[in-house]
Amino acid sequence: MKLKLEFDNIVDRPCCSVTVNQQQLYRGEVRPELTLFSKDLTDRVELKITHYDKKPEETVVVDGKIVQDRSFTLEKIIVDNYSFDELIWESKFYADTGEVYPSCLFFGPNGNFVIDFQLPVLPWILKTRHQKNNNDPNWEQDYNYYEQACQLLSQISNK
Amino acid sequence: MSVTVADIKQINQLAWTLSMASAQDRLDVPGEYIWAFPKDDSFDSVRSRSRSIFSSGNSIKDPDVINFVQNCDVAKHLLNPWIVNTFESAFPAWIGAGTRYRLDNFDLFKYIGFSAGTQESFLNHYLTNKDRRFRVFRGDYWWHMDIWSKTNISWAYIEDDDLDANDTCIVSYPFALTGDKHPQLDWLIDQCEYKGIPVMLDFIYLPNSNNAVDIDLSAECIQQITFSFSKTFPVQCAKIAVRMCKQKPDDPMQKSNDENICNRLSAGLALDIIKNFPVDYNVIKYSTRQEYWCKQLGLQATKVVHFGLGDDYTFYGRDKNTAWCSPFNEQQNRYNLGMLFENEKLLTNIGMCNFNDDIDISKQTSQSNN
Repeated sequence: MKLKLEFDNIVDRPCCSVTVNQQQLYRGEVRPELTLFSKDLTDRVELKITHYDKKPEETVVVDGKIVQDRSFTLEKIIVDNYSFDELIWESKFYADTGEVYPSCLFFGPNGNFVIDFQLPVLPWILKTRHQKNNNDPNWEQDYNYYEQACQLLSQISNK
Repeated sequence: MSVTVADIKQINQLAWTLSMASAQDRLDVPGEYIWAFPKDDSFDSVRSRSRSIFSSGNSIKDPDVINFVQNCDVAKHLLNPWIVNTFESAFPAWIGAGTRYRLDNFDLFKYIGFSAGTQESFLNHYLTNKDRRFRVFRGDYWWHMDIWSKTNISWAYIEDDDLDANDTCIVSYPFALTGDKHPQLDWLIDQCEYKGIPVMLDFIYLPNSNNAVDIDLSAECIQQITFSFSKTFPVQCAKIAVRMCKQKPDDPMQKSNDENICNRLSAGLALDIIKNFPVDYNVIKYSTRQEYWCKQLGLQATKVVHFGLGDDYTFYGRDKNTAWCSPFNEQQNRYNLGMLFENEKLLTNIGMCNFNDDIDISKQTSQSNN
């Protein structure tokens, strides 16, 4: 599985670790883009992005307002070249303090962002999208046509 | 009477595969429009293009014609002030040589004008008849209705209101949607003749048709007839068409012809083509392929060689909300088989085509003007 993560609003060099099914793929400073690879994954995948090593003094409050905060935002999850797009919101952030924030892409406190999906990712995206919006009843049939087209064309060499 | 049932699954698989092949630049003959290229081979891009793969009325992109056109020296025509006239003189004989249709009193149309696509003829017809109400049958070329609506020109479907002396009618023959004569065409000509309503007949698919057209053009109401190259040969973007009239028109297009400022590159290319390809070139070459694909896919072959009719394989493009280009573009159940013909090698290589009849192109029945 190829996993690409895109981050934005990176403030004060925060740190994160990325694990899939408990296999750590990255640990270190948050970068705008991380491209990671994982082998031997099938079916269900739990992606966990952990914000760690933030200290209380790294949130600076002046007159009740946060003026500086070590933090970052998750912008995109792309698995095997398919972006989760709006499905990125089908996630939860478990702060180390015990609070649970559904659909939270902002990494303010230390804690774990968790999203579950399935491989291959394309049918999972299509199915989940249809379950949410009820607007793509032919997704499975069309996915099969797509897969079959890929296979048919893979029989012949490129031009 | 046998009822054909479209093999929707196979049609879909062909649509997806051709769309994917287009995205990966693996078609034998690539598309000619930007919209015909999926932006990449992702699911969404391929799916989107798969829905329109059998749409449009455009010509078969015949590899031999493409090869011929690529080797034409069209630039030389720019230096030839007589080239447009030469083409205009040669065109009626080329059309007249066709044996798969009948145009009685064709020679009454003495005024022959090069047209930058039939759209130029249509626009001039709109302009000349701007005080009339335009009438078309449902399912005819969507461009008319779209332009009329956008420019506030008065129009109505023929089916929706009685014909009035102040109307003017445009009809494609063979009819654009079905590839055959419109069932009410004879009635319409009678009515227009009786009420003095001018008619423009658009012989858009005539060269690709086989026993669809049989008409006496002597009716006074039939004042103009048009012919399009873009539905016959893969020269869509050269904008080549011909308008023929019984009376000399007095409109901008005729003015361009009189001034000798028509597109010489296109007219010269058209002349090169008609000198080398008979009018029924596609019917000769592709009729058995049409039969083959219609049988394979459970479609009904039409009298226009690059069309088949059958159940819809997608609901996209089938109603006003999903129609391509314009809400008036009613593709309904018409399949343009061109991409299947053009990509025979690819489809054979991946096991989706086993057509193997090596057609002898010399079996033509009409005369080329060599």
